[in-house]
Amino acid sequence: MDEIKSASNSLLASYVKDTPKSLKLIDAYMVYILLTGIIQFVYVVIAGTFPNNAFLAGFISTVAGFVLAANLRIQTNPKNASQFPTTSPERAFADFLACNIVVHFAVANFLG
Amino acid sequence: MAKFSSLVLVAVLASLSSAIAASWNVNDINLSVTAKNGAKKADHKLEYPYAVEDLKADNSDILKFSFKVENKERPHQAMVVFQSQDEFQDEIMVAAAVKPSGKGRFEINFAKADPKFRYNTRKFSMTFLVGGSKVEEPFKYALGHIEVQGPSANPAVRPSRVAYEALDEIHHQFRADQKLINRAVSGLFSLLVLAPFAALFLLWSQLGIKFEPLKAMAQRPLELVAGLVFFSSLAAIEFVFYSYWTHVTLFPVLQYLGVLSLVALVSGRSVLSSVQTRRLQRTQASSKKDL
Repeated sequence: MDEIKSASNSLLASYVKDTPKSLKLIDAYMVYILLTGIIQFVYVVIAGTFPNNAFLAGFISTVAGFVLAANLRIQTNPKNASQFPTTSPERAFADFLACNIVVHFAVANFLG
Repeated sequence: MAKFSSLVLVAVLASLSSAIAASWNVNDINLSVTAKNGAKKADHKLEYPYAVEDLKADNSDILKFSFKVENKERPHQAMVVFQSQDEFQDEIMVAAAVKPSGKGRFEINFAKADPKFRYNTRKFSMTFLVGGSKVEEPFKYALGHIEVQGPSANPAVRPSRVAYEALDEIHHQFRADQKLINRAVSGLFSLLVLAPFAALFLLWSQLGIKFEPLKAMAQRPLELVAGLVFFSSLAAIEFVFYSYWTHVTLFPVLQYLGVLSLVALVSGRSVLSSVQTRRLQRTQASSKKDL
């Protein structure tokens, strides 16, 4: 038990120390989206799916937002820079915004 | 040439007339009445135009009828029409299934067949009909008569006239609306879903972000304006989505989106490229420092 504690502590410490601030920003955003999705799911388990399209739209938007944020994180991570020689962080951010707009349009369409 | 074409026409007509046979050729017509316990009461091998008379059947008997169509074509319809020989002249048609081999048959169990057989003891005429599109003349054979006994215990009375009356009005039943959940619960969860925003801003504030790009922008008003335009165009796009959800229809939305996305594209390009130049300058500076 203590080992797990120390391991997780060192993991957290190294995360706080070594992760660039921009990636932490994205991580916080992903945590936020994850929590939102979980709460929506809990609501559906409790209250049922009656406005089914509303649930699907909300849940899909969180899933899609999470995936896009993950992509942004992968592409802007300096450690992965060698794998994306043509994708600058700014380009990745522009892609992120454009994809989010498309997702939000689909979600708004689906909300009904 | 004219002679040749008329020859062709004759040939075609001849082939057509051979395709349409003149009449049906039906053989092996058997009619039998069997009691419930399997004992044969009557068995007739019929040949046109012989007609059976004095055929009698009990209410529980089974009538069996079989035949064979010798033509190459199969009939579309083969049936026996029973017509009651009283003032009602009720007609009961019993169709026979004809197999590809040409054999056809049916059985009538008077106890389970058409209720018109069970009104009382009645005499029926039987007419055998075979017809199809490929044979010009249908086959019609008056088979004779059969007397079917009514049920011994309280036979149903044949209504002398069919009464046509209005049935009860049909009311369409709509499915009940699905119930929306209690407002308090949905409101609570609306708040809960918004709660992670607080977590987001808490985490972000912990990061200690310095708004260096903003300060750099403030020194160059043109970049500041571009940044403002970019963010407001994104916000406007989201607002268009919101109004699309609430009240605006698709086509005006597409027009707004067309304009706003152009604005966002141009302004975003300039903003992000200036951000990139600053980043590159910074990294160059730091690498120089490292050296």
